[in-house]
Amino acid sequence: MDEPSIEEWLDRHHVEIVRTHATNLDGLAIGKYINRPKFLKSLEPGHGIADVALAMDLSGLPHMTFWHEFRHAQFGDIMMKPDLDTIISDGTDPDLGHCICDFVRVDGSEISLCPRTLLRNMTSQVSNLGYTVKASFELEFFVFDMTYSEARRRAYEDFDHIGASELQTIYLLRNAYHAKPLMDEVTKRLSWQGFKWESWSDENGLGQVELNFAPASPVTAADTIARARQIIYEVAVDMDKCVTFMAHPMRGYSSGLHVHHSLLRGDEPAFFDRSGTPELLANWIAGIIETMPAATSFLCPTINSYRRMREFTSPPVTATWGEENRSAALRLFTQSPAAARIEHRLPASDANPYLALAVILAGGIVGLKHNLSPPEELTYVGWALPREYERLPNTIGKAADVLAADGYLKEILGQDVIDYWVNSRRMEWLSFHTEGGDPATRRTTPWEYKRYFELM
Amino acid sequence: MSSQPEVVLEADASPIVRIIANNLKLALHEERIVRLMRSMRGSFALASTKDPQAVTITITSDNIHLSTGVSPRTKVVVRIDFDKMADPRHKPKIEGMFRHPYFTYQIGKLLSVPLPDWNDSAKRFWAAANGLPDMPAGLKVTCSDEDRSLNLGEGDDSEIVADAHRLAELFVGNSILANEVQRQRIRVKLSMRHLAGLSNAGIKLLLGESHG
Repeated sequence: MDEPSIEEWLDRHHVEIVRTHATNLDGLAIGKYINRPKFLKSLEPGHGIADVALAMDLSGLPHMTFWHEFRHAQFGDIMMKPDLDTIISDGTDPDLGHCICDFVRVDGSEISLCPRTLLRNMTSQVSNLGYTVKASFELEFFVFDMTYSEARRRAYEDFDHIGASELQTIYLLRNAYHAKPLMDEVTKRLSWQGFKWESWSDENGLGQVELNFAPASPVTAADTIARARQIIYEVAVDMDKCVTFMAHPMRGYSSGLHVHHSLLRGDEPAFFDRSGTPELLANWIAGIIETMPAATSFLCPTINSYRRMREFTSPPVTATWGEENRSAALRLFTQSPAAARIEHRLPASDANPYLALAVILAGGIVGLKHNLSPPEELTYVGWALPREYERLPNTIGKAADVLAADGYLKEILGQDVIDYWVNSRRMEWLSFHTEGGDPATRRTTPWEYKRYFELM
Repeated sequence: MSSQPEVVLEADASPIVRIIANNLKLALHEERIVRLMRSMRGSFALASTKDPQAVTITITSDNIHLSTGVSPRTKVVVRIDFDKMADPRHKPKIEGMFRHPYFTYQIGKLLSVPLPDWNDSAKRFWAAANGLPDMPAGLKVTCSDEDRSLNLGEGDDSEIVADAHRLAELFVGNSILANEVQRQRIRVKLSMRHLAGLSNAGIKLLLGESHG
């Protein structure tokens, strides 16, 4: 949508207030409620916001131990530039509209660290190679039958669960029925706002739900997840429930953010070839596999993400691939042109959707540019494999070290992005150890609940 | 002169393990500490009185191995406030002292090794940080309780002010500048960029990625 037509759009939808929404590195929704005149006045280069919006940790402290060129020496401003193609009306609040933004500098130039900008740049790189990308996410989360203040009062212990059965079931309609009032409202609001959800179901944790979305362009797919997380949170608050997207809120149960993607050459599915595995697909998965140990830092960004990575509990623990193999990191579907795609099963539910998809595409680009060959297909179960099968990094510290030492992702994503991210993960590690986190336990610690439960 | 025993860290060591390892390496520059370590055998642990941080130090004839937590094989556990470890007025609580009195005595000797003088550590820190990004061109370090200062690099627009103990902790990598500034233990005259650069140099020291 161009600038002149935005006024007409606001008139037509009776929107007087626009809520802007950008996503910072930790995946938090950042924004302001802006009245119509101010919104129209600040379309270019956007409205101002303190640069710490993109440079703060999950305790709200500015990143003070590492630096990036976009920041100001004395806490200055950056801008949130509206992407007018994303403007929508709220559907429930008659005056309200929503618009997704990119973080840009005061002069309007891009910030390479802005997660949405990074994903757009990766999409462009794939496009320059002659392909378009379609992507979608599976969003998993837990719903609790209590308010956030009650969860806080109980120090995030002794949760009131929704669901019929305490058994480790999955797809159980009886369990799903308990989540239905909340999910009816969630899906209604998603539909009103034009988001293409496809299905939802009971997952195997008590009160755990999986919500699936239709394929879209990478940025739109990630925008959808960013928006959906906010909508789910708001519905939960409105209904005196609470939800969390933290990866491992309950013993024995974890949430993922599986990422599906496919490439098209024109309108043709590039991952499908009747005569066998196309060379493009071989190169593409080889790159994702090769960079997966380094990419783990982005895909599993928190201390809590790694509590999920246990053998036989669903997440992959090796950088492997296999046709219809749920225990491999990459589950391929190449048997039909309509469904030809890759499901990346490593991302945790607390991953930033923009960064997760960006790093996956970067891996594929590495494979194409370097003409890499994939390892043998995993035709076994991907858990409990002999020791010669190298495991993915299983702590935030190890993952940061592997990423710091990797050359491929730096080449595609940029040295500045990798350096900043590695430093931010090391500070997360340092905060856990020095602010009360208990490294001796395998269970989710009070430090993690306090830091992640309500923000993720 | 005895050869220095090797200090070995577990994989993916926690910050406190790295800090204690760095301090041991510094202490091992003294011949009497090398002799002391050569005469010690067994495991002891240092555990925080404030949070779950703990490190087990196992001394064998081959090396000194450090790992996170309190190993069940430790003979002595020293419960200590890590923030006050170098403060001679701070009295740690010791478990296992009566069953292993001599080992406890040796541990006491080891823990009483003072940190190097802040002045020397600051010069080593500055040399190690040379070439790292976002560092100021020059730095004035002012010691508030000794009434002396040190100029590093070129120019004194940037300044760090603290007491001798805090400066010593900072420049050996036991503390991170930004954290100390937030806790108002150290005062600075720095841009955010230089605060970040100096703090990151400290983290690299803590991680063992540079050698101050």
